[in-house]
Amino acid sequence: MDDELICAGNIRKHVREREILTISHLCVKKNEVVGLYGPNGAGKSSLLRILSLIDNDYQGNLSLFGHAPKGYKDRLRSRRRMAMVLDQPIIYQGTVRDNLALGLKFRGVSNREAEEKITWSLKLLGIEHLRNQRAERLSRGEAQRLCLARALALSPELLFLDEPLSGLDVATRDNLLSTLKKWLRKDGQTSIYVSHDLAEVKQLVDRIIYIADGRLVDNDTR
Amino acid sequence: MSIIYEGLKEAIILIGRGDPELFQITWLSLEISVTAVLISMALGIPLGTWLADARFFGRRLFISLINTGMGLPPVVVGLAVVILFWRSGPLGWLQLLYTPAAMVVAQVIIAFPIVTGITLAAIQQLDSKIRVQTLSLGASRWQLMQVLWREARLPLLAAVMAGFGGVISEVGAVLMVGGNIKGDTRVLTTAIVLETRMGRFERAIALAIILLVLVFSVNLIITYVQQQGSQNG
Repeated sequence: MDDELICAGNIRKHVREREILTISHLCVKKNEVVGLYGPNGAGKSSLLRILSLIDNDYQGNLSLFGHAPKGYKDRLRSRRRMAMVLDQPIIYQGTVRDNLALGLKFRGVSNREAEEKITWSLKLLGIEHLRNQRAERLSRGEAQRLCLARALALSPELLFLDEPLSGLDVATRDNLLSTLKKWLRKDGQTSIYVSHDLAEVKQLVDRIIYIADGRLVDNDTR
Repeated sequence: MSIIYEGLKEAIILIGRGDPELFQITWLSLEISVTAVLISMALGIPLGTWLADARFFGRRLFISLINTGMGLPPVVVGLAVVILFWRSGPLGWLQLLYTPAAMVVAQVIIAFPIVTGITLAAIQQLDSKIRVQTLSLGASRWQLMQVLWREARLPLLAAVMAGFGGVISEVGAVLMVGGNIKGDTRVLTTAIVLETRMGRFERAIALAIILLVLVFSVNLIITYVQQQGSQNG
């Protein structure tokens, strides 16, 4: 139990009285990379929003970092130990640096430490040269790199990747895939990687969970 | 044509010689409308932001009421505020009728739905995933709101402009609740009505020109800020 960062039981999510998610049991251990694989509309993103404490409108038990977060402040504290990259790059107005600084500012990281983390993450994703560029002017591939850098700069204990490579050209996709592979393998990052591309998931994860119609169908340890 | 010419001449003379009454009226107009817009922003921007994402029973009805309020006739607002502050009215004990404070209340009732409605539309037109992404970066409720306002700052400034435009040029409500008392509650619009009624068209035109210049100047400043943001963004 101690090494489980996520433990969810009997999670149910309804939208307009229709049940869209029923998760009887899902646990993710520390340093484990879990792939959540399934077709579009299977409930992958909905599940990720619940696990990352962004969606609180559900029934069931959820334990994160060894305890069930209760109340707004407790949930905020837990949320600040996690990060998420979405399928479509969300870019804020300002420079690339401003975008990277945002989450660090939310979490109260000192200016000096923030600058170090920004430089480190820019380097990791190979976008140091874009540091002072307006983020809105980046290409799709550059923007997705920025989103990854922004999440990694936060040094999250739990990283949620919601189809981060979708919509990218083959070259950018392969390049980012290899960066992710290195990061997820070498650094012991606990992560849930969502995709509807099985080949992509297989390259990155320790375990694949298949989800369809809002239910976990197969729980396979690779 | 001669009336317009005389009006322009009178305006220049009045401004040039620093007519104290004119400056008092102009200053009061600005003071009342700016205060009303600031109060409307303080109430309307958070409410509009909250409404954009809130789910509750009667939400659509509430939004419809806000949208209706955007086109609220000023005389109806004036009537309501007069009844409210009338000596025997529910808030008569405050003795606010025929004071600048009552005029601010009336203008807030006019500007508040405008600011709220445009804020709601501005926040709703943002990418819905901004909220998810910002929360996942660790934003608190207040930090999320600040991010949403920054991302929607161009339409939000338009909301401020629309709110200000709606109250500075309004005459019905301020006339009813302020009473157009010289040196106390007389503002540019009510002074224009008075001067026109008395047939002093030159002075009325002079006041109208000052009002137009005032509205233009405030909108110019807001537009400058807005477009600066647009170029940066």
